[in-house]
Amino acid sequence: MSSLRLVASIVVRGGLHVQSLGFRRYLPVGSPVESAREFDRWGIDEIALILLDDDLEANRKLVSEVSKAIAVPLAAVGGICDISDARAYIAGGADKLGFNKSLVENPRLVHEAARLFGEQCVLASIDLVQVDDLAVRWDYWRKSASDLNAASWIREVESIGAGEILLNFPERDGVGRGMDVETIQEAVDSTRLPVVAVGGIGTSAHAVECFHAAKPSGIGVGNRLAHFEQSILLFKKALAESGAPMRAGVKASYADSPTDEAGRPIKKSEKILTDLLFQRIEPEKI
Amino acid sequence: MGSKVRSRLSLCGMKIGIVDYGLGNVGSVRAAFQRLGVRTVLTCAADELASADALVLPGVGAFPAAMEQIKSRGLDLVLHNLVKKDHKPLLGICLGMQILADSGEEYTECAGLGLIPGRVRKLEAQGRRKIPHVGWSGVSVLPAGESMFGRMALEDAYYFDHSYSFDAVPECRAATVSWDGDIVAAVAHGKVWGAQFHPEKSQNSGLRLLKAFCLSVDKEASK
Repeated sequence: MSSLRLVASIVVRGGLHVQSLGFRRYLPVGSPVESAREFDRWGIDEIALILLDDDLEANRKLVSEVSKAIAVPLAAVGGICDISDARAYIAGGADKLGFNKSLVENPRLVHEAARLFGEQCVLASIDLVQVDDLAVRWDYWRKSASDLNAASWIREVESIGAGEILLNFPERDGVGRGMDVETIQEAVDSTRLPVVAVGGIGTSAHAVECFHAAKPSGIGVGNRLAHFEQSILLFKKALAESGAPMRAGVKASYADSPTDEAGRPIKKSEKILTDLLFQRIEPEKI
Repeated sequence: MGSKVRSRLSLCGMKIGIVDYGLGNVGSVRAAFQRLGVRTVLTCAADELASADALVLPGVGAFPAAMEQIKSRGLDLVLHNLVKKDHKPLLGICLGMQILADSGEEYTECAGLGLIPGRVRKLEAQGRRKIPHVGWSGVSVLPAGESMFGRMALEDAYYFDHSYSFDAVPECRAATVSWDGDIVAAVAHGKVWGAQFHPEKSQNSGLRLLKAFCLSVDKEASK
């Protein structure tokens, strides 16, 4: 069985990796290429580049630079207006193409991309918000909720030819108070496609809660990875200890480290530290 | 000279020909070989492919679209000659592995390169498995995959992303991955190898496999 994927979401605006708050406010983090390189080094399972800029040439260049810097799968989401854009991303090294607006306005393009590159290459990026206790599609461009409910929208997206679903929750974006576990669970249960859920993670406990309640194929983390030292190892440690199937990825691990309530590592016991002196650590061989 | 130094030296002099048919995600494949210190050339020209020590057939795409691109460049004949007559080692990746088959059924029934006996069929899950099969998994190595997975570490996992799988004849199955039952993860038939997963996207686990491929080429050459 596949392990649970920990997906790094890198939002890019004005060429910069930004922290996104509610899909409205953006704070600069730094170079997207450097962020991706570090996430890869620390054993992330996949990277989703969320491209908010309209400049295709700059997007294409960035996809290619990021792809060269990493050795994990790369999804390029956003800015694909016709099939030549799609080709440009793939040629640049994207493994998956993420569509959002086109799902509504140009489903033929999504269908064509699936025919050319295979459905496994097509990622449907869906935004959901709660209206009167019902999850509905949110329209990013009009900044308003539509009257299409989540289940019908997911069925439609399946029929267009998507091979995977990226679920975003604009209301929880950047808030860090936990994920919309109920909606994620309903989405996972209602589709045959793998689902990656993003939005709301503040601590590793949120990821653990989401995995055990909803069993998504992947959990996306954005801001937390950039603002929390050693975050990938600590997320993986918490998920693995809770029983989620995780890929180690790198040799480094916090498996024998105690952590505080916020999931940060605290000092190891004297005994462990003493034993470390006598541990032989073999370098990794390729 | 230690064996480590020798293997490093032999990798330096090696050139891998990456078959360019307009659809594969070639950037990552090149980057992966670069990490191993192996030179690559991206081309669809027969003479350049012939001058390479070994070939890699990458692939992102759908089976018929890929075969159409291959045929329109005359690469089906070129590959046949290089593999069957010149016995050049070939590694197919993902879709590049699937089109090694006799035939496939993605969108329409379509003939493949016919380099490894078997056919490609759509994944069908009995239980609640998600399709495509996407994610990181470890594999179980079969006897045909001994040299392909010779450098594999215990905890190695590879990145899979596919909705079709290659039902190769049993003697050509190099490894399986557990999904809805076991499905083929890798194939090997003489010097033709194929990986359903993406070694170029599987961090060090994948690099170990690519290195095994390069070293197998070297062994062949020094015979």
